[in-house]
Amino acid sequence: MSQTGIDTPNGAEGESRLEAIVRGEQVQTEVHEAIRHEQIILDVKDFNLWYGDKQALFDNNLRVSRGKVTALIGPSGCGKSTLLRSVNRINDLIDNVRITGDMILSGQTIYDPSVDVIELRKRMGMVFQKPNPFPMSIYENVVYALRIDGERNRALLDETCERALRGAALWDEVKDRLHDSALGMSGGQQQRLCIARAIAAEPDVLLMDEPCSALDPIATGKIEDLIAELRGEYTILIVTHNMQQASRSSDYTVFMYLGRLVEYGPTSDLFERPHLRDTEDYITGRFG
Amino acid sequence: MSDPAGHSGSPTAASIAAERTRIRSRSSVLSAGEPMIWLTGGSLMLCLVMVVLLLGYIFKQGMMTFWPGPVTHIVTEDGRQYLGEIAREEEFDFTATAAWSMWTALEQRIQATADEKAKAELTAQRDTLLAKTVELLSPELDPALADLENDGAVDAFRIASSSIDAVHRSLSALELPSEAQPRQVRDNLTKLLALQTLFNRSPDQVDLDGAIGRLENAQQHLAAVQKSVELMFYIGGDRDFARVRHSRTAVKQLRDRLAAVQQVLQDRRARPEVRKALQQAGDRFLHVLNDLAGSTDPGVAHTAQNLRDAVRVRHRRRLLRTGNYRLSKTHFDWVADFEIATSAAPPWAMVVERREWGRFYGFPQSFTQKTRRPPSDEEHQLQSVQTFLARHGRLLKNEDARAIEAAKKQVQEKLQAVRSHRSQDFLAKVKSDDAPVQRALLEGGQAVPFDRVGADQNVIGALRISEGRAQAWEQWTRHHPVVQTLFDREYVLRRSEIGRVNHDQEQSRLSVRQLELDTDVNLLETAMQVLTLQEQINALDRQMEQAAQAVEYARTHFQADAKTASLASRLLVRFRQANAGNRNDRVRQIGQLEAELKARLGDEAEDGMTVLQSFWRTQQRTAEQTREINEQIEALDRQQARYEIEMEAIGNGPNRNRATKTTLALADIVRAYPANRFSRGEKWNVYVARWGEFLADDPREANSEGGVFPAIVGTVVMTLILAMVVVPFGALAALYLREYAKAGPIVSVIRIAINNLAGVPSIVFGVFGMIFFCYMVGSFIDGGPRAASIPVLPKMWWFGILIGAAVAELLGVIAAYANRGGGKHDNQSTPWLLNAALAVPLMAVWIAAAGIWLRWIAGAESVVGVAVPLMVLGMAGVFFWMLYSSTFCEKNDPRSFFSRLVYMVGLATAIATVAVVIFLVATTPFFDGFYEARLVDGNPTFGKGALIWASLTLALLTLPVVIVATEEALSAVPNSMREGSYACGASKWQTIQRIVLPRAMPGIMTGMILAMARGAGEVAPLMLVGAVKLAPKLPVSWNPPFGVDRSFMHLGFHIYDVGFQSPNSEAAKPMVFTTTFLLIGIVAVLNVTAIALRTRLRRKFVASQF
Ligand SMILES: Nc1ncnc2c1ncn2[C@@H]1O[C@H](COP(=O)(O)OP(=O)(O)O)[C@@H](O)[C@H]1O
Ligand SMILES: [Mg+2]
Repeated sequence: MSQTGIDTPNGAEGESRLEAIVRGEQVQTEVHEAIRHEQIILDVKDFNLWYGDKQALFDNNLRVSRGKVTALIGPSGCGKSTLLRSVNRINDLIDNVRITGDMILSGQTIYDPSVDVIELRKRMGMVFQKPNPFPMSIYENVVYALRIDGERNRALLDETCERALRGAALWDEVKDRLHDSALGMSGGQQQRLCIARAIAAEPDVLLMDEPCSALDPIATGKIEDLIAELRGEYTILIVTHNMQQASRSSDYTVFMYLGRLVEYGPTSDLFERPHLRDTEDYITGRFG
Repeated sequence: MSDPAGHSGSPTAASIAAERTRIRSRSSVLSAGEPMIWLTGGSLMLCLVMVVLLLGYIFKQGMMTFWPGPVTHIVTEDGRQYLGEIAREEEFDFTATAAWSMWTALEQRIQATADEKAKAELTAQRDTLLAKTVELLSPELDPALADLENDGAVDAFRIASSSIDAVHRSLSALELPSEAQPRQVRDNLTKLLALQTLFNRSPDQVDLDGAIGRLENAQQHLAAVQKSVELMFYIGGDRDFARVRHSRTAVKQLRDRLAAVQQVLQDRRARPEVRKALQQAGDRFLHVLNDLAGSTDPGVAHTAQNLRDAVRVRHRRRLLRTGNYRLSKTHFDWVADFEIATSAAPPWAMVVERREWGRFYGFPQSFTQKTRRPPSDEEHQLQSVQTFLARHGRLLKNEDARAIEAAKKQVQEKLQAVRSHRSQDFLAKVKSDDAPVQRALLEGGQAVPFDRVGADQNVIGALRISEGRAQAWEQWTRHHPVVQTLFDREYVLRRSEIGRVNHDQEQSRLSVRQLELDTDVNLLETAMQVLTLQEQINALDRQMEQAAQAVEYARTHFQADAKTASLASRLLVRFRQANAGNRNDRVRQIGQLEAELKARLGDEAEDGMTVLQSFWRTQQRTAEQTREINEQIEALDRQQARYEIEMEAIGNGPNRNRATKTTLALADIVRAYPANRFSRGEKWNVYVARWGEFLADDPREANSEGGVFPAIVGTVVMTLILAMVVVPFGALAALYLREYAKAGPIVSVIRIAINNLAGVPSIVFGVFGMIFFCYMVGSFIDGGPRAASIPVLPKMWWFGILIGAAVAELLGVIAAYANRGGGKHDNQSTPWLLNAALAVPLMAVWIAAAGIWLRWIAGAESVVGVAVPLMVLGMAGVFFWMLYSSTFCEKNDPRSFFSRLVYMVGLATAIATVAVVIFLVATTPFFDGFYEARLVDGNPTFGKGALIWASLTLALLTLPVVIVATEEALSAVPNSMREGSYACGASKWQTIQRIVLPRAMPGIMTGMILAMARGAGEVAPLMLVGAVKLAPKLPVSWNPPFGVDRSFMHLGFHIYDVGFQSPNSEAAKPMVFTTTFLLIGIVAVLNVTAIALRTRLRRKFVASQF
């Protein structure tokens, strides 16, 4: 990593935090003032996570705003997915995962022994890097969450399906073949179907892990438009590799590095006036 | 590049480039991978060629079996005749020995013939044959003689001398009783060694006579030595025993080897003589050879004997299927080409496939159709009067004897008159002008022309005889279908009707057996006595009725002769009295027996008698039904017996020179056709009909002919049951291993064990199936634990354990449920119920294994004493796995240690109860089996080989296949799908049920297909658990247990049986291929069905990803 001969950005500190992180020192997250005025939906508190002996997240503290899109950026392997997957406890499925600290979703702890994980997950939707439609019809895919709750009311199911598909901007494309296999759709359509599936159960939070990285540019554009539409309706936590995407479609951005949160602020501030030079370096592509 | 020349010394750019090009071109073949293309492609081709060859061979042979080949008529030089189909041709070694035996056979026949003319004929035949064989073999004489020169004398000597040393050594180490012997032996042996040196140097100059003499000498000495060594050996000193044994073998060996050398030398000495004799013999060398073989000189005899087999020539011969087993005592015969005088394909040679005794080949002579004269009512009545008088006449007093004789005579006369009258009428009616030959069949059995029938003769029938080959064939084609229809009707009667009646009869008998078991008294024997008496009464009543009818007839028809009529009436009265006496006796006896039965039944007399009454009713009804069906069968038999065809068979008898006329009943013939006259289309019809018979009929002729329908049914039903059992079990086991059990050493061990199970020889499964399923489970179902040799618990103990287990179970389930990790941590915890479910088969297998080991291998007397600790041990093993996989390995399990411990113990108790329940069921004192009555009769129902046990055994055998395939399929389900489902808030089971299983379904189907293919083709284990050579019934039925308890036929076993166990293996050989072909076809059909199903599933669940 290099940080030679670059103008110090406006307001940025001179000393590099990234080097401190590499040295393994504890580093304070640079949080912008704007965040403090927002309404908080998810509060990550001193969260640490280990895969076996290897620590993947270090002392993460993050307050996610309700109804906003928060983007997680950072170089590959810095723990963005891990953080995201910790929110709905999908990481529990992996052997040897250990955590300390906690997360609080709308006032309710996530990592409490009394928490019903399944109930918890039902309050969140998740979209994965690669589209993963289930081996069933489009319709069944969308209403999957309702089905597992034992919902039988046809009218309700139909209505939910249509609403979710409209929400995912997919209704017009598939309304004539709702009962065809979902596996026959194009990649972009499949990903939008996954979004529809995620929003069908009216989640509190929508988690998206690089939803466009496996798609072609046109499909990516459509998904981005969709995220823009969902903005305001849902609280979205999105991981992305694409700076433009982060800057275009998110309200807030978190910059992560080696399992630590480096800087967190409104997207426009972070992209135009980052407090830290490291952030600027990363965003402008000078490293990473 | 520039400047190629100049600048020598240091390498130029050009030379470097050239060098690199050179290196590249050298390595390019390898680096381009060209050889790999050839290697891989070649391997594929090789595999394909092998498979295609195998399948093609089976296909060709299988399809050819039923094609009707031509019938060949062969006459040999020596007058033998053969009529039959050529089964195959081959090359063989025709030796002088074979030629000589042919010559002697002919010679014997000449000696045996008295007729001069025949003698001359035979002699001529013998001479031509001799000339032919001599002509064939003479060129081979010189090479054979030359070949004898390589007698390996030097080698024989070398081998012998290697023993000399051993003998020498072992003898000198031995303290032989006589001092002189070893020295003498040593001297002799030394002489022999000298002889060997000479022989090695110039074998041609050895003085043969001298050498043989010396060998003789040595042999004698060695014989003496051997004797004393033998003696030492039998007396047996303990110290030197090993040495004695050693020298014993050494001396024996040396003697054998010296004998071989002697033989070779003798042969050498004799060879010039033999050669000279044979050179002078010329055409008569066969005789000379024979004389020499009988020579007193052992060398000459030996050389000549060797020569007889060495003079040989490759020649062709053909195997003829000549059929006519009863005439020639063989189905097949070899004929060498040089023997054949003429070979033809006579147009009227017929192939007749009979129901018994195999094929018949012959020429149709005539066709006979019999018509029976239907006896009139009058005749019938008169006959019964006659019988009545004859049978019961002596009931009247002596003074009436004469009157009775007179009456008999009168009736006889009247009968005669009626008969001859009706005979004439009958003849007039059946006589027709256009008919071929017609004959009247008289009472005595002779057939006479119509015009030779006397006016007073009784004609019982008429014959229409169509003579001549074409006419007989024409009649055959007209009448055989009719007979076939009748035969089929009879078959249905015999099979299903009789079977149904027998079933009723058997059931009612079993009901009495059951009553016996329930009440613990003997009933059946007495009940059968009552039945016999009742039948006797019925017979008496029938007689009485007939007598009354006959007398009534006599009274009305003999009015003119009042004496006869009144006599008959009086006789009837007497008869009625006598009959009534007999009848009353029996009624009284029945009453006594019934009272006795009632007394024996005691308290249960009322219910018991109801059962017995219904038994008697059913037995009488079924007896009546059987009588009726048998009458129908008889009538059908009679109708079928009307048609006969007379055939002329040639080439019969031991000498194959006799022609015989044989009459074959049409009812005994399945199919007949003049093969050589048939066009391609007609042959095609025969071919199709044979295939139809093969697929739809029962086997006949010890399975070498007829069909394999029962085997097809057996194979298909067995495979279907197998699939129905193995797929759910295997899929569930795989589901547990892949989705629930935590990956670790124990799961790995289990997985390895399952894979190893696939490598266990299938016969081991057969043995297991026989012992566990047939003898333990089967006997248990039949007659409870006692029948299965399982010790029975005392009732108090049993109840105690039951209550204890119930309480423990309840507590365990409550504890496990209350402290379960499920619900809130559903993703991580292993479902406790599935854990328990898996424990059931595990425990069952464990208990069975322990039981078998104890009972049959360790031979324990008290099974309980040892079984209980073993069971506890087994349970402990299962628990620890459960605990390890489900409890300790939960991640983020927030429960307290105490809570986990309670869950663990609860789970353990719940599982233990399963084992206890199995134990309780196995040792219950309250169960005496579902088929005890039949077992008491000596007919086990499930406690023997049965379809269901075969299916279960094969299910066990194919379990690994299904488990492995299912596991593959499960692990092929992408993790992203599981995660997606969890992210939607699905529980583990919901994920499996809705996402994983549907996705894995095609893979599970693949497992099923593989299992079915493996199971359907398996033979060895089936022999032990229910497959039989010939099953009396199909293994399907409407009555419970729906035929699964029956032994069954199986195509694979059929192949083995037909191919290797058949008495007529030559005829069965083609059937092996056809059956193999069919088995492959059936497996293919089953597979294609399953594959089609899988493709549909796959299209539904797995489409393109992008
Ligand atoms: N299942 C796992 N087991 C062990 N280590 C893991 C696992 N998943 C991720 N990691 C490690 O955790 C770190 C963070 O990974 P991840 O969250 O996937 O990064 P990102 O999504 O930011 O690229 C990486 O170093 C990765 O190697
Ligand atoms: Mg990632």
